[in-house]
Amino acid sequence: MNAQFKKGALELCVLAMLLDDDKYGYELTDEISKNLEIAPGTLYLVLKRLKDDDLVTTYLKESDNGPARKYYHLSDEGRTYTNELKNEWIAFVKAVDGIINN
Amino acid sequence: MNKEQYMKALVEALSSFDEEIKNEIVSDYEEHFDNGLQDGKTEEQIIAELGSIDELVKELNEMKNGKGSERKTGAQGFNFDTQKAAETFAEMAKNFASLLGSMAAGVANGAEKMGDSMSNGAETFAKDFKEGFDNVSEKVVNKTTAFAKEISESYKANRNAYEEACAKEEPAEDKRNYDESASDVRRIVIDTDNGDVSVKASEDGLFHANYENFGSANQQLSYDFDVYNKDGVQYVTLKRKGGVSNFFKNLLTPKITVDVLVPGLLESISVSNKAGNLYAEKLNASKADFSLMAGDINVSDSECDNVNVSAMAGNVKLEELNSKNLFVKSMAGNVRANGNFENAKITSTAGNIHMDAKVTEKIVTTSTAGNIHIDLRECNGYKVDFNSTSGRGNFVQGENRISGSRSGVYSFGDGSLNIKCSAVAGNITING
Repeated sequence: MNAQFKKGALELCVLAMLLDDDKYGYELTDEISKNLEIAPGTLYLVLKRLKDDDLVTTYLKESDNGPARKYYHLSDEGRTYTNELKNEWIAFVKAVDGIINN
Repeated sequence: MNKEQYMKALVEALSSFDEEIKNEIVSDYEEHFDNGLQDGKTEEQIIAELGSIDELVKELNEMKNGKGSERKTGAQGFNFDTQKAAETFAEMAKNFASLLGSMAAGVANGAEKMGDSMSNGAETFAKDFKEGFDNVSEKVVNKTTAFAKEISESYKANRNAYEEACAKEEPAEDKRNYDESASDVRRIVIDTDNGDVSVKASEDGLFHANYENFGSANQQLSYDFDVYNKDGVQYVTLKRKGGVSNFFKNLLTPKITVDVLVPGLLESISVSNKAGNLYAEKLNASKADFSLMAGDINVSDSECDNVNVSAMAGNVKLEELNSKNLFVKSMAGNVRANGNFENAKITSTAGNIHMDAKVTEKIVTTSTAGNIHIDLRECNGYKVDFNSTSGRGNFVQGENRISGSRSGVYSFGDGSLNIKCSAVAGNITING
């Protein structure tokens, strides 16, 4: 798969999972890497980039059984961006589907 | 390898990066281990999942060098390197074209190997077919390369304009109406880049054009809709402005409708649309031209002396069309033609052709990969001259039936209607 394309798709997966509530790194990476065969390492880099671009913010929160976890939260800008990306993706997939299924 | 060894290797591999980046990744990985172990996984499992450290360093370097991190505003969508995407696209087109070429060569070889006396015609046909395909292939490559270059250049040139546009507020729904008095309008040209176009006779005998764009603010700003009269021709145009969006947005299109109501009697009407369907209804014109790149053409209940239909990727459906001369050319879609015709010529590369019509003079149909099926209304007889490389001919007229051959000339009844059919891979059926 085209690397740029894959990155765009991964970004969308991560962002979409944050639409409803904040999640910690393991939750995100475990869910996505189970479905997409992507190394969590790559996903942590995606998360870092999203943070550097102010699309997500992070905060630490104690867990019931273990050390504190870093939670990711979608910023307002990130929310707008995610919804736009989501619509673009859906329309794109639909267009491709339409062509390949004739 | 256990967790300790893996983390040690990670710290070492990241030693050349900023302290901040290194600490962040290391702490992310520590946390991942903690959570994974809680989840019941072993250290080895987690290490296997986390993947190779070398790969991580490689990706980190790409990130540091700015690749894939050009996003400045949210609205830009996927961070495609447009130049690269364009190149990939052109490359894909080349591969596709060469695939077409080899397919055509395969057909030609198959025909050459047939060896019986009938194969001469087929061989010539297959050769023509191959030559045609080679021409098309070359054109596809040229066109696509140019297209890709255009996307890439317009993208760069208009990026700022696009960002400005994004910053503006959402305008009201883009909806416009135009009305003209009837006496001026006898010739109409509709030329659109996108959208569903509908053309039909107006109830008040006047000309009206309605345009509606259901897209987002940016998508609305990306289109110019215009209605004007020049040298006695009424024009309706919808043009997409160059490159006010990124690669993805160039592929995506908003829902747009262009509804044109026309006077009852026209000299000529011409509709061309790049992406979208066409619906024409109750038209009366001496001359009608319909040309679509990616969309279906539907024409119904119309009277047009000369009709010229050209479709690249969509289906053509003509329902109860009365025409003296009908000419249809389709590349990838099916063609269905019902009505009354004097002469009908229908060509399809990959689709089926189905006619259900009363024809008085002549029918010529050619299909490369599809079947040809003709049902004749009020027919007293016909003469068919046909050949197919790998399909069969089946002909019925009244009680008479001939089926199973690959080529020949047969006459039924009074033989008054001339039919010429050729197919490469499809069957030919005629019911008279």
